[in-house]
Amino acid sequence: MPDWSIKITPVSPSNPTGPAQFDPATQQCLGSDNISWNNQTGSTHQPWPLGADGKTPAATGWGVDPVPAGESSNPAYSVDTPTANTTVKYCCKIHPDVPSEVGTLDVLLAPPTFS
Amino acid sequence: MSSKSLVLATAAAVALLIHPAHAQAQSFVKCPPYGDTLLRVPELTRDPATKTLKAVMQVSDQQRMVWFPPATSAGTNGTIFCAAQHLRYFEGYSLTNPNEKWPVSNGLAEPLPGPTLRARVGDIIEISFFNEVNVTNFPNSLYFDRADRGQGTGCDETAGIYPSNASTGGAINDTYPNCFHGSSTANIHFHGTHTNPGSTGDNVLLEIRPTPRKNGAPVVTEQTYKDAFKTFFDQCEAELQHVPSGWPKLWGQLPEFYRTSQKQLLTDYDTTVTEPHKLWPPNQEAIDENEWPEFYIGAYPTCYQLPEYKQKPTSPAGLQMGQSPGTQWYHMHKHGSTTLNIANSLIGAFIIEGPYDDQLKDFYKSTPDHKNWGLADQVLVIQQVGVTPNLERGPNQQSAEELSINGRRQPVVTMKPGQVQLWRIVNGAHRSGVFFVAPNPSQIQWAQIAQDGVQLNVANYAAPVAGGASNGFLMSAGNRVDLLVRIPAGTPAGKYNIQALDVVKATEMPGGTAQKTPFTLITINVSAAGSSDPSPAMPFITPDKFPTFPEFLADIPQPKIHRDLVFMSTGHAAGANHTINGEKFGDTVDQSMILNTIEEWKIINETSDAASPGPIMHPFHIHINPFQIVEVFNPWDSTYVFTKASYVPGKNCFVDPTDPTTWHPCALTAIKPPYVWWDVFGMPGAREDPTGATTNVIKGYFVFRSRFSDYTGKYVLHCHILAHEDRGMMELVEVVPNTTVLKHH
Repeated sequence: MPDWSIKITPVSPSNPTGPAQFDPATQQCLGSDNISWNNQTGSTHQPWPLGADGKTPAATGWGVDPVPAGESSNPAYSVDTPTANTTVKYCCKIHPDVPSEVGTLDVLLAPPTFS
Repeated sequence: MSSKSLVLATAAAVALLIHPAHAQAQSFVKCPPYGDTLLRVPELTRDPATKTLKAVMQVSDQQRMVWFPPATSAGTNGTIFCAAQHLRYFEGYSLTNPNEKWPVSNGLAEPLPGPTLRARVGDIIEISFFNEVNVTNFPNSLYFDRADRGQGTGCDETAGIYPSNASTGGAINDTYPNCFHGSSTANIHFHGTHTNPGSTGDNVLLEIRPTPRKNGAPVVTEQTYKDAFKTFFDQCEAELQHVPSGWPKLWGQLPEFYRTSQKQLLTDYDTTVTEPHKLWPPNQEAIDENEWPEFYIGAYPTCYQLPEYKQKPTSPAGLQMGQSPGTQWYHMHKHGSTTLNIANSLIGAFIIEGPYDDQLKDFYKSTPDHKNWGLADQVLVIQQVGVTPNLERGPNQQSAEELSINGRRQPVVTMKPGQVQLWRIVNGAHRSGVFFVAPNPSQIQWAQIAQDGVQLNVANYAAPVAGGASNGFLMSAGNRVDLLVRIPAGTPAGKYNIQALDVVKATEMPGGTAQKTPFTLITINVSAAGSSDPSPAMPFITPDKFPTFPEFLADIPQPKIHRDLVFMSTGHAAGANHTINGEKFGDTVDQSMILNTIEEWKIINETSDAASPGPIMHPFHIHINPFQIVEVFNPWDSTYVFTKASYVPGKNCFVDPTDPTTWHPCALTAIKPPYVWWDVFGMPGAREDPTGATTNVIKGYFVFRSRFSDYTGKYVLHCHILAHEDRGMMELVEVVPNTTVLKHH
């Protein structure tokens, strides 16, 4: 099954320790795909699912450790297998109030088809 | 191939490799169709004037097309799907033939093997090797090996899954270093070469870390060591005129600039880690003990000889064996990541030509009496492409990857009626054995002429007669087979599929209780009869013209030294351990042999159908020296019966499940000389008492003889199901000099 690597980049390249963003902001994936985050900023970030309110970090995370600047996340996150196509919003646990530090996983039941 | 035709071929390859419809970003993408033309992987060839193969090889990474099997869970509708994924890959070019460059794609490439290397017996191989992997593109493979930094377990980690597998109650016993880890560290194993196993030879104990990056650009590049490597290769050529030679032996024999630079890079790296994870101190310790250092950053010079055997040695220092001409291959061989590296297609064919090829080409040359003859050779590298080992997946996402050839699924090769082609087949799968189902003899016939890069003795050559059936054969992971493939004259135009079986366990062999559905591995498109067809039809080479069997490949006599090695795997519930003689790979020498002695080894398989994971046919492989198999006991062979009532003398063989003294081949199954040379052999699976009367496990085994000749040094033996190797089913062996300082006065 596929692996997906999501970059964490500074919103402003001239300010690597400033607000960050996830690239791609939305990543399609399947249940049990492995996802990692590649931190290309100058700060530590930690991907973390948002709670039911869609605004604050959930009580329980994905087990992904804080990602130091210039490194990739560990351990890899094995996407929970959904029962229906699901949109999962996530943020940075360390910077939950930074609006740009929000991403989306579109967890699909089946891969998209191509004609 | 002329340079002009090569340019044309390369241009054609460009067109074939780019999929412009696909975006570069990681995403699900449309799968390429089945049945595309077989891609001829471009070659890096030798310089006949200097008898060298001079190349630059690099490990890089890019987005490549990967196809995925349907998951076992609901959701993927049972269909293959594709995604653009970041893969590591080999690229390279020839220093003497600059047009020979591979790959040339700038778009989303297919998962291609590395360039085919083509040299000749007697050549010196000179490869400037660079590790340019951008590790931030890969999960769990940080800038440097995670264990170096003392991070986590040192193993790759997937939350809640690996290395402690929650789905089995944490029963998996993988611990560093016998776990998946460090997959961006590089080296190259030249599988099938008989050469120096240490220093700059076929040295798989090397760990070449990726280059550091500054502002995203690699710090170590080809330019960094261009002059230093040239100086080294010039000296290497001079030193290797002595055959056999293990030069260089000492760190000080590498160029000073390279040594100084590498020490600085490693020392810089060491400032980022704490003891015991620093890399320069163990290197310094090795240097102080006149051993070869293990760790490098970004670049390494490979230089070794393919020794040419010319005559029987007149002294013990003379060449005993020589390199066999044939189909060899190369692949990354970093312990802990061979599975992933080979799944990423860090593999390639390595053709070593010699008198064998000359005689084949001579037989098949085109003449006025043999119009349109000529022996086309097809290099077929079987791949098993993937991005993460199964154990790092959720339990519902573990399934075998689809097998492909030269980056394509079910490729098509065109042949003419009456034509014979030489197919050089490499099974570069990281796990699967491939059983080639015998074709319909009215459409396709074949005859095997070499095994694992060593030609058959003509006594073992069995070409089918006109209309006669060919033999099916198994290629375990790592095996090579040279096959003469023939389309009988009169075969109607059309496409004819060659079917294969994916085989890992004894029960999956043809007729077995767990045989899988045959699949099309490759298709032959037979063209319509025409004036360019061979005339008369090309036959299989006749025994009297079969390539002369080299003297050094004569049968090895009965040795006095014997060893037993026992291979065993347990299922997940029992810890998923893969061991040899009850142990996993460590840092001590497990087997020590004296230079230029012969030995007989019994390789025993205790992995049976009595428990999970079932009777896996572990493919045994040892580096540097091939071996001759003299005995095979396969309790799954239908010739054996297990009750007295079924025994018919002369028709079958009786094995008493309660009497281990009967657990051996009988006259009907005994192998007769001359013996075949191998360097990988799928050992027979063990079998629980088929009568059900006892729980005895009848062990499968084979016995081989080998000469540990010409080269001293440390190297490895292992299971070529590479997930087993990465997880510990490997031993360190050493060939030591047969000299002593002892003097009697």
